[in-house]
Amino acid sequence: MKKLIVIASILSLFGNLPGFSQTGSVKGFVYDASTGQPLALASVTVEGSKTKAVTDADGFFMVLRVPVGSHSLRISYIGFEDFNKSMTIENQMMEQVVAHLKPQVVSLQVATVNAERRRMEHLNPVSAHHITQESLKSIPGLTGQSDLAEYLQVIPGIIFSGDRGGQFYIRGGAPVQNLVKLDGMTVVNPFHSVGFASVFDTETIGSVDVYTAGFDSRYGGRTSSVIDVKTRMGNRREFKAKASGTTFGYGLTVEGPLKKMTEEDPSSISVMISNKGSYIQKSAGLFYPYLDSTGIPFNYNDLFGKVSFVGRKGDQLDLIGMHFTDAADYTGLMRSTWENNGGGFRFLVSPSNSKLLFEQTLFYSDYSGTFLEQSKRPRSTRYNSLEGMFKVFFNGPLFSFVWGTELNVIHTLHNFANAANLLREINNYATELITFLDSRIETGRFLIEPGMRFHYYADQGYFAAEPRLKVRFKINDLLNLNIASGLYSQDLLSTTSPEDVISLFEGYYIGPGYVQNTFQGKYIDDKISLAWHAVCGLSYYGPQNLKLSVEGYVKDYYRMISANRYKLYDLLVNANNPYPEYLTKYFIFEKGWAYGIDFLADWNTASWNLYAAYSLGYVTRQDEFMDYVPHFDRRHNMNFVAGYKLGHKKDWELKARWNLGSGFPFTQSLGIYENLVNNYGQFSIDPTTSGALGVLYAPLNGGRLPWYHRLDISLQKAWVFRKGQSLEVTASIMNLYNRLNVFYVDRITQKRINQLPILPTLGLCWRF
Amino acid sequence: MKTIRLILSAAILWAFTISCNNVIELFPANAPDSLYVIGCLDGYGSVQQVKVRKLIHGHGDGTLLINDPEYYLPDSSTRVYLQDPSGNLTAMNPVVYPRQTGGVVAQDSNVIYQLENYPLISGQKYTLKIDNPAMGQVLTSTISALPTAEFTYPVPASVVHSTFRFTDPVRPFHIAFTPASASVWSISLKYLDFMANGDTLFRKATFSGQPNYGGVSGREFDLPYLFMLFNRLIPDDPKVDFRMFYRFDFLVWNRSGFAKINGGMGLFYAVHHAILKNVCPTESFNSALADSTDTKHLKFSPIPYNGTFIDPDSTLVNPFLSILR
Repeated sequence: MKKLIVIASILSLFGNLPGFSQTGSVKGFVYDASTGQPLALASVTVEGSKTKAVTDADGFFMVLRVPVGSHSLRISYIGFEDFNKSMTIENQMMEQVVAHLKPQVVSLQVATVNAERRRMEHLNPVSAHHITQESLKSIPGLTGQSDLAEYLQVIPGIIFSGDRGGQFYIRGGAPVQNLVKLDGMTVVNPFHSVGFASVFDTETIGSVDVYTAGFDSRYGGRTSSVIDVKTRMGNRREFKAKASGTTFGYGLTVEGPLKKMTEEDPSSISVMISNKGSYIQKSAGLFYPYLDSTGIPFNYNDLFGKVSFVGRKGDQLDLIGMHFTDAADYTGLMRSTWENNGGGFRFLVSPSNSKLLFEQTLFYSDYSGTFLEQSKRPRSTRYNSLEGMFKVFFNGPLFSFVWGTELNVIHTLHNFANAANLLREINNYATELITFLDSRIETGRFLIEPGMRFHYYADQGYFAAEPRLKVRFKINDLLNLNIASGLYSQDLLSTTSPEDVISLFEGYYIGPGYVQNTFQGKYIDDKISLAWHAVCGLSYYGPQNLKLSVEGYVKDYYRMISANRYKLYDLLVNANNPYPEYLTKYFIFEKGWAYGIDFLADWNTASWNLYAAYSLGYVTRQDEFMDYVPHFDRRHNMNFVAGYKLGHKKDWELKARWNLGSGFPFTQSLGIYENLVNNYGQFSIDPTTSGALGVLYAPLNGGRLPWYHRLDISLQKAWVFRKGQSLEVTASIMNLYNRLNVFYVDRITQKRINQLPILPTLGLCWRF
Repeated sequence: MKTIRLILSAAILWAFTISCNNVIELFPANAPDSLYVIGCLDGYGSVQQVKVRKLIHGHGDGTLLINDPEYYLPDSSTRVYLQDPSGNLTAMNPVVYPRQTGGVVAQDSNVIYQLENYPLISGQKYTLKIDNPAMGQVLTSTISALPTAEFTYPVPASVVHSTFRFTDPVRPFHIAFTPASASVWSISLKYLDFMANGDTLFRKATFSGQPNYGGVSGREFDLPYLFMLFNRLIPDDPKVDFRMFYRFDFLVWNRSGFAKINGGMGLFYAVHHAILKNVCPTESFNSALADSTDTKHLKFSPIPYNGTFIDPDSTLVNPFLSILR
């Protein structure tokens, strides 16, 4: 029967079917009546119809093949009153509904847990982590509110390299291999130099989906992972604001309706503006006088705005703008600055009588960064892109699909000093044409999600056909077997070497030039990185809200392009260049594997939130000459998070997070010597000459740093006043037992600089 | 439940135990003491010098250890020899040079093993041998002396105070020289600063570049490239009233490939160099330099300086230093 429904769903796209009884359809959007936010995964049933529907992330649903006649529509969602409406279905007609569900008095924890349960029932959780504002707030927040950058650190398979200039490495992938989207716009550098702040304001986040491997075909252009951030709309009912301040920085969010939605007229215009920033560089001297002379030299400022127009039938237009800045200033040593500006629109519409939902997005973003060092010429980079995407959604009962087509025009510019210390400027343009189909079929115990992505890299004339597949098999009501696999490709390169432990500057480059032509004796025409993923795991969602999962994964980076660690000479334009490629090219081919197993346990009660994650991971690389492990090959990584609500009103909350990670690989020194060789391989032994100090290196990444561990705690008290006002006071201590985790060691002086020491913070957050 | 508690307790205890150690092993365990050698056989002169030092891998500040003879000097049993093509072994003499100036490493016990009046025969093989009985190390390395470095264009005899058409867009001025395993060419811009206070200062600015441009041992100097060098090397100075350009100097410094050091580590090679001095551009070059929007801000006069030029840089007598600048 279910197979018939699937087939009927597919065929119904093309009109009413001969031989079937007279039917019509119902579609619409479901919103939270108090704020106007869409409700995802709400259950929609039409009395008398054999099919049900659930809402998608935009609150959209569609019930097909409803027999002609009078029916009762029922929409339910945990934590909200049921929505009931009587309607008359006419033959071949589409009834449209906009439903506003009124919140019930139910604990946030119960609502969150039940939403998670629905998610587990409806979606394949393989390598996927759905993050909401509530889950973000479960982590001790150090910047006044929990930040996405802090939450990502506890996800199994994600390795974080530290508080200062920290980077995320997701299941063996470098940062440039990770795709980050903000409402559909690519954000190339989403994390600030200080490791616990992202550019995203938690207050504006609707949801974040993190795919650590095996992501589906709507995402591409990266070979490792995806972080998809979706912001919510501004409040459509009333004006709200949040102001917060801590010893680190501040945050301010203002939102509200320019045109208010009402029961009679659900159309609205809402606006949301968010600004957050740090003043830690200045305040560190006042609050943390025990820090070394460098203090905490990080500054950032993030401005985000969104205007949402919602029509009477739920059609939606979002205008989005952003301006993110960051600066790290180690006075006298180096200064790194970057800014990211961007904006665009997203238009969502489902025309009357259509069974499809259409989405059009167009974004322009412009990232630029500069890096100054004491003894080198300045480097700068720019990545700007115009991205247009058109998507069509069909959300049938047991079959649904997303088809999309995308056009991206990308420009990268990289200025740097070459081997002769002359400034070089590499300017490149790339055009990408993409079309993909993601489908979803529920049949019996199986949820099958086949997909296909065709990605044409016009600058290289390379056509990538990338099949993707996700399957969930329901072993029983509590236990699922999940698998995912797919092929992935990438054109974007980063000039950051995987060997850099501290990489505050990432130069971006796109295009086929400056890349090695041969690898291991074979000529490679297409300068595209390629990978294959396979993931298999079990997920359990049991009684008492216990969630367990175990996942094994393999990523075969069978063609990678990385910064050339062997480069000695400048790249010469003439084909008669006498030096071998590995001495002249900026990028070389590599290949490698990432594999491991991740364990996750999550348990929530009214008072307790306990979370534990353990990752065992192996990452290997192979270049023309050797096998090695990259510097982020952390073998063991564990995170324990605990939250406990106190008091009879549960308005006190104690949170703790402990992270334990085995040591990163690093290259040991064989010794220090007087280096008389200049950039060109020449030297003088003239006795009047005084050389610099050089370091003779041991085999690449042959040593291991000590284990990393850190305990953060926070205690929060909330007061709720009338008219929805509230005040939260949060006291946090980062690195409670002052573990001296290493940041870097100067190989010459052997001076050790550690990550941040014990840092108590106090924060206030007022919502009104 | 008891078992789970036991496992959890054991896991936490294990985690704390393994994570207690916080020492970074910057050097591999049991790294042996090693000598390193920097030896250069110079075919241009007749003095051959070899520096022998110990690799420092102790714990402490390297900037201090590198200047502590106990850490950087091999012991007194060290002997250094040079063997000529006929097999004659000559002991090199340890000479203590004065403390260096500048740089990072300025050692008081600046011991250089040296042979004076030891001219090399082009193409012949010479073997370096270092014997350190105390450390049980014997280092040997063999290199062939380089042939004489020379410019193949312009012909040296025609260069001094001759004029070259730097502004020729079709065939710009170029240098060409005998190829070697590795070479560095350098160009020096010689000019005068006429200061607002009445002083006249002789200036020289040098840029070193890679050879083998386009697979040829040489380099072309078209006008945009030269102007780029002027901008790179000559700073804007509000105290300068105007400037006059004098001449170019060109230098090429050839080096052989590095010879393998048997039994140890370091660098051993042969060098040779040649200089073209006082290459004179045409007057149209000076006009372009004065009028071009790229270089106008440098305040060069369209009239070249043709008087006596006093080289401001005493290191001109030592070409190695001008290369390394």
